[in-house]
Amino acid sequence: MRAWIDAHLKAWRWSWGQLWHSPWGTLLALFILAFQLTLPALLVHLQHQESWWNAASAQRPHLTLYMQLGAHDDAIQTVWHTLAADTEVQSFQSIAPQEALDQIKRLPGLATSLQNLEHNPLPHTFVILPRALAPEALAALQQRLTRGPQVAQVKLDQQWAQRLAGLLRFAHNLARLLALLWLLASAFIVFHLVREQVQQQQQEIRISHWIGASARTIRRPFLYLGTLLGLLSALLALGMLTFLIQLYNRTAGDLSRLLDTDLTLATLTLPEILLLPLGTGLLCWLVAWVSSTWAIARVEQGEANGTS
Amino acid sequence: MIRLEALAKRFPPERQALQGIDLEIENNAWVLISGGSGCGKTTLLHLIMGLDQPSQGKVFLHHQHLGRLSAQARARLRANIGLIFQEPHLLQRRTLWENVAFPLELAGQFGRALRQRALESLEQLGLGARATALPAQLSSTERQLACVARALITGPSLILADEPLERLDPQNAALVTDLLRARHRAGGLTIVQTCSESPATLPDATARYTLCAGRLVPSGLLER
Repeated sequence: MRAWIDAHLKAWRWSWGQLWHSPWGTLLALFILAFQLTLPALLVHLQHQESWWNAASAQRPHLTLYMQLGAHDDAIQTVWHTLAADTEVQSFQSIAPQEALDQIKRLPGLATSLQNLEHNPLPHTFVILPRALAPEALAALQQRLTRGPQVAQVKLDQQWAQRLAGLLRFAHNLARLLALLWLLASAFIVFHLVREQVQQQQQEIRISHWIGASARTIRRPFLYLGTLLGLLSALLALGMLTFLIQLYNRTAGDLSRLLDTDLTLATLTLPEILLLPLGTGLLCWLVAWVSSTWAIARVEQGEANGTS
Repeated sequence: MIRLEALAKRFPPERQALQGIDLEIENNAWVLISGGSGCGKTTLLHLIMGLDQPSQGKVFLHHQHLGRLSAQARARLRANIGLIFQEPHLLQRRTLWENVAFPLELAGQFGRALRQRALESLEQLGLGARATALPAQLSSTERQLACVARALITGPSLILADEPLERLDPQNAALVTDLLRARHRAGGLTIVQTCSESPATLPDATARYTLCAGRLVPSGLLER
């Protein structure tokens, strides 16, 4: 066990030494990797920002709940309380029949025609802004609200909801694809950096192999190097991401107040903070494994071809 | 310990480096193989080390057919052999004592005892004061002596030495020969050594061969 720990400590020290050996080169590589990681991380973060997507959607579907004509105040109060308590409802507006009639009367040309009405023909109405945008969630909310006391009808523009959901799905998929592409680009950079190190150490690898070092022993320091690059760049990317979100929120806050909506982004969650370095570290470990295994295989191939 | 059967090595397009080599080396033997430059001594040792593949024939080392072993298995086998190459190959980013201790690391040893053993090995060859130097700071002789120390540090049962004395001055050559002789006389050590000219004064050698036109010719069996 002691020997195993010592071997790993040695490899760990070697990989730090390699990074420290050319500090400016290392710093540059880390910043390139961090920039590469920041964008996909931001896109993944955006994907989980339901409220941001809601606010960013310019025209959102809403539901209109019509009470029966002459519905009792008790029933209207019950529906009001139900809406206030429903977590799927972001906000709602209650419009009394007289209020609705007054609004219609203000429309040009309608005031004189409505003056002859003997009684108000309009029901009590609620205009509801739902939290979710998925058509299924909206349909479920519609169903639930229809069951309220003395509710005549709940209307939903299903077609618009489906179109908007389709658009959002497309945006999510695009974000995922871009995140994947950027992540792949980062993997290629790490592959190249480790391969460069392997190239520089080609003679050392050959000698170690001749003396009897196993592939695992030869590979170990390169794996640490790749993992270190991944971890450090992910930490740098986390810092950049936090800074970007804060910078964005400062601007978005003013715009949100003007548009009467919330366009700000939530800060990074703990799983996101943990996932970025762990995921990147693992990816870079894998890439370093491929890169160093390839190099060792080339040395062994040299033996097989009789070119040692 | 070592068996070579109808061994041949051809380098493309038409250079026949070795041909029809049959040899059996028993435990505790000290075999000297001499020959001029480019006669195939290094090729022969590389084939025995498993660093190269023969064009024909078989190499058996510790009863294992090297041709049937993977590159990794051959590397594991080499870890138990003391190897001295013609060129003093050292790991450039390691100090001298770290280079000498490397085979012990491969055997899973670490810590102070490891450093101590490496220093003792270097002391034996008069390199104690250079222990913390990097290979680039050493002379060719010092590097070659370090390679000898590295080959001996694990106390191997087999040493394959490719012209180990060629780069050394007479004094250091005698020092290395004495060290090998002492280990050999202690028992349990087989040595296969190549040299450009077979030394006249090496009574410990159990067999002498000459490589001539790719063939191994016995120069006379010496009784100890």
